[in-house]
Amino acid sequence: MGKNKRKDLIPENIPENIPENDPSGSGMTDNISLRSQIGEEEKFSDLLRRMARENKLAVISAVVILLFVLAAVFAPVLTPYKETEMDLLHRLSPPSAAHPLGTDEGGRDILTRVLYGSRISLLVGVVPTLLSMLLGTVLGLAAGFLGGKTDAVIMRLADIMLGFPSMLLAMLIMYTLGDGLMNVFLTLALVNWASVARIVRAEALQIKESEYVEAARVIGVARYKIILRHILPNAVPTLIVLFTLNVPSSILTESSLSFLGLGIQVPDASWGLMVNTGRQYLYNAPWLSFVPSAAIMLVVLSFNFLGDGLRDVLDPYQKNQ
Amino acid sequence: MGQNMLEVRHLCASFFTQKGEVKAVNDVSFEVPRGRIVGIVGESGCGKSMTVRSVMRLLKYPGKIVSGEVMLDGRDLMRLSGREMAAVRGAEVSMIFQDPMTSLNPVMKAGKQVSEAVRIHQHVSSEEAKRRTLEIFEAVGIPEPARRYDSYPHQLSGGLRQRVMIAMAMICRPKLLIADEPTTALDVTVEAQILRIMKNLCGTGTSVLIISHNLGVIAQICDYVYVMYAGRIVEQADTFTLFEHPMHPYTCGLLNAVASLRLGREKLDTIPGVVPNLLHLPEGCSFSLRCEKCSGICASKMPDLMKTGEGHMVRCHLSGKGGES
Repeated sequence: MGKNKRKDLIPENIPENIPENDPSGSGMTDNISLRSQIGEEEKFSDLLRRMARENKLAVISAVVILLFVLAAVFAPVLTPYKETEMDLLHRLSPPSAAHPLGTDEGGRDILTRVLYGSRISLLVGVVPTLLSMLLGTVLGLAAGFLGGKTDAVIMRLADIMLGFPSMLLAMLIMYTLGDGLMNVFLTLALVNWASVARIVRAEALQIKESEYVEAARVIGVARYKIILRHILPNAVPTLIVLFTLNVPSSILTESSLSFLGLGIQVPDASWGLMVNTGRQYLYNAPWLSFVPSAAIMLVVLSFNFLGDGLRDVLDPYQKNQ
Repeated sequence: MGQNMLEVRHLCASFFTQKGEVKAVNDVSFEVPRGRIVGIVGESGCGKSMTVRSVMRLLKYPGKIVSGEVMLDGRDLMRLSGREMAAVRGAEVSMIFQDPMTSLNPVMKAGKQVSEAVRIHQHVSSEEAKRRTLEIFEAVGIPEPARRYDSYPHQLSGGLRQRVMIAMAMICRPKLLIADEPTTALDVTVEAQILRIMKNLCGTGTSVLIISHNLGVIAQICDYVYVMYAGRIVEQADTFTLFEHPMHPYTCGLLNAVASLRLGREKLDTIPGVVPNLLHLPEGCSFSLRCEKCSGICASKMPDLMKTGEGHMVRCHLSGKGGES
């Protein structure tokens, strides 16, 4: 009961000399904290600059990803060959001037196939991740914010998805739907939404209990607006990190599916598929598997590092420190 | 139109836990007259916050309003649908919280959060909403309102954030402002400024219901005070009477437990014991276990609120004999 407050309790002595709001600031304490906290809004470019300063690895990763994107876009310009072009006279030839990274069992240029393969692998990394995040975020927010039966139904569904070995599930769906890029997208989205939903739900539960959500309810903000304007924006840092972590996992799953013969089919090029076909020639032509593996590793690592960097930079409490 | 902006009648609210019903608010009645500041004091856990949350109809699970009437300007809020209640919140009755550090959305600009309220309730254009926001920023003493409009909460000091909170609560000119320990998280200088702002608001026609465990705050700004203990109101009086002639032993204990420079006591008085578990309240007066003056009847029968003077009610068998400290 206010034991540490030195206050006189006799009503006649109500202090009348409460300091007026001086225009320069607002009292002593405010002035001090004002000075340290005058910070203009941080622009996105500042944010990137800060990341560049604090986390070199993340920037390098971003550059690597950008290079792969450029390679995917400009593949036809960068190489004289076509990814499906066979040259049976030069099967399994080691790296040479004509084929900088060698050729595969059909005499196809490996560099060309890796470049074209990055189109599929990057698409497969990004598109299904976006799809699964969309699905997972909507369901996770609904479960977390609405609670009750909605929560129970969505989460049991997610449990079932998570309880099933994901590779087996992906294989089952792929087998049912058949080959093709679209089906790979769909499969990966269906396999990955549950973990996103779980994380988003946890986030929503936590944000829902925060005082600013309560304050929003106090001023009469409707429920859907609370979800869209107060809960979702506060979950964005988590979502971005989730995105960068799920992209590599999608790439890897696609690689595994292709490796198992369920994803992209020869003669199209995908990194996982290339690793698979190279497996048979591992002893006499190791470059067949090695080059696409290195590409997978490079992209996956880059996304992970970038995710870490973004997480550090996007935390609103760490701005201006 | 009645004389009271808010009338709460026989409000009961409970937590329904696995161990049973916890009656956190037990038959509480009080009123807030138009343009006045009314305070509710009591220890942590005595049901103050629960009472005002019931008024807003914002109890969190497993809390539930059991019975009672909450009349805001003649309208019973308990009878409104969820949608109607949402329209009342922010427009007619608004609330500010204890901790301004956590009550603002960290990723939303301060100005946007404040203007959200007008945009919802009065459907004004965004320019108009901004103009009104800058106006209210000015009114609650936020320096450089134009720049603060675009500040994020973490760029503001505690005092400024509480002003933003008040601005958010006041922008629609509600009939009633509920302040749940508005200055507890602030230092004393800022506290004085915030209290002054609230007092000024009161001059503009808004009634204020303020909750505090800080008797100094109550003494400074309230016209009328309710003292709560274990979910019940144990004493009510105008501020002057309560501080000069407290009747209930609990109120006396509270007042004695406040440090005073003038009296120059070496050691502070305390109230012995702790707040009783609301699951296992004593049969008689809930304060009987801690009361120095407890006598036979206290342990067996819950006293009623009895009138002891003009506007002064006390829930004590010994009132009159209860004695001043």
